[in-house]
Amino acid sequence: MKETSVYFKIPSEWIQTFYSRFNRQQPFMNAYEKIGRKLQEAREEAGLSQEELAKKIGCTQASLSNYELGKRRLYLADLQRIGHLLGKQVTYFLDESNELESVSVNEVQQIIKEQYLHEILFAAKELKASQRKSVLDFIRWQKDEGAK
Amino acid sequence: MISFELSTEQKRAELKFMRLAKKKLHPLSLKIDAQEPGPIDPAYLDILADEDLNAFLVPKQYGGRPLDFITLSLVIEGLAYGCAGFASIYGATLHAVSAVLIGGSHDQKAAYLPLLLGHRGKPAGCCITEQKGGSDTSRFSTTAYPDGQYYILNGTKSPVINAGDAAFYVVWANTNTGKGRGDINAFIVPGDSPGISIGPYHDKPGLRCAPTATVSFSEVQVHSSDMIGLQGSGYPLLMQSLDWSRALFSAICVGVAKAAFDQTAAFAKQRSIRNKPIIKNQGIGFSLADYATDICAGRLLVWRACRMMDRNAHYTKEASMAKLFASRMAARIASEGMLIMGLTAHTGPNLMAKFQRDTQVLRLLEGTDHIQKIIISSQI
Repeated sequence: MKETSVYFKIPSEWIQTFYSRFNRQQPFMNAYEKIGRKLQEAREEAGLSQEELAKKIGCTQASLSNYELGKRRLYLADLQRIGHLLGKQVTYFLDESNELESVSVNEVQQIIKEQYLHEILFAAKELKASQRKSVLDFIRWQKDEGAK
Repeated sequence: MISFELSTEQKRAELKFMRLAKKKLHPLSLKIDAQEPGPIDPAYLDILADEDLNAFLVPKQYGGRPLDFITLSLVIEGLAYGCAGFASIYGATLHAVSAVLIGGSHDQKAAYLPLLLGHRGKPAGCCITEQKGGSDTSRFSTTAYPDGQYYILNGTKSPVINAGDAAFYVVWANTNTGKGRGDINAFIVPGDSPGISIGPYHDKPGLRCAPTATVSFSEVQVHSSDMIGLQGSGYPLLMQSLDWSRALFSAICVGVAKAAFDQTAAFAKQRSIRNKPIIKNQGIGFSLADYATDICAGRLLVWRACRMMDRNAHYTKEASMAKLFASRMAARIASEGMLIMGLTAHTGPNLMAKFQRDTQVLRLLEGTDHIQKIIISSQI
């Protein structure tokens, strides 16, 4: 595994993952615009034109275009059918894990260099989702207490 | 050619429920409206069961007598003419049922829908909104963590219509794995599940006949077979079921608007000043002409959305347009009706004052005016 030469020898993929989770540089998009963009990506990945996919799912090319632009809501049955055709789970279209808040790569590196933060991050990685939530709640409580 | 003619069956449904509204719901609603907040009044539960109203929402194969959406809108309009609160109790059941019908499996429908039917039929409830984040689905704090064959639900939903009386709730919760909207899932939770607690009931200004309360989930165990749809499908399910219920909540707005209009018009014909009924004054007569036109327009918007639902076409924008127009229209007619009726509407318990309070709350249900505008503008 390739490693970067920061203080604690952290694999570069981890930094990239961490960075991408916090990348806020995208323009504002509503939920269905995001779903539409994912649909477009999945269609292109499958090598299909709008016309070809529209034919497979039994709608017009104009309707599919509206789905991709987020101008028309994809109902659950449509989403499941399209996901099936393109080999994607429903969660693929809804996953926002790459679009949360943002910090720069440098900031991430600085954060991870700090010993306790580094340990917290790596210790939390071993926990179940519910336990991570508890840790996060505790940190938020500490912040609130500190602000008083 | 577009037809605005109702079928014989539709006319019959309209008449039947208008009669129920005037005979039973009007007198009951005034009494219930004045009560302290609490569970649904037993008299309302009896009407729901005696008329087997929930059967209109349930497919035949599960024991129901389903209606097309336009006819259903006429039923709801009639119920709302009698009491918007009663119609909202029914509307909340409809919303929960819509989620099961849209995304539920055959087994889920067979297990839960019959609980709503017949003489022991109960309402159902939808647990969506939370005190902090409202209906912002990407911020649901109610959690559902997998635990073997079960999910464990924790959190608080408020306000919930039919809280404490529901045969089952459809609960939207967050599995918190970092996928945002992809973590939202819906579960069917029996109303008597251990770990559910109800209260307090809300002492709200309007729709007092449709009790709302906080529903808390503490370590509530839900079998994974009671998750609706595939993992992660809660968000589109919620949006689609909201579109569905919006169209039909608009019918509630039309029903109350008609009731408020009829009261106002009757008053304006009967009340005379200088030997002339006040309806003959253009200030009053023209206002009533506007209201009658608006009610007709609102009704047509509801029918258009319902027609699109019947045709299985896309109805998101149309449902929001109907809700936006009808809820504003109902609030305006009820409010101006209060002005026209003057002191008569302000002294003692009377339906007009109730209509005014109810219509204010109707502007919030299934999304405020602002939410409807966001939806409509996103589709333009």
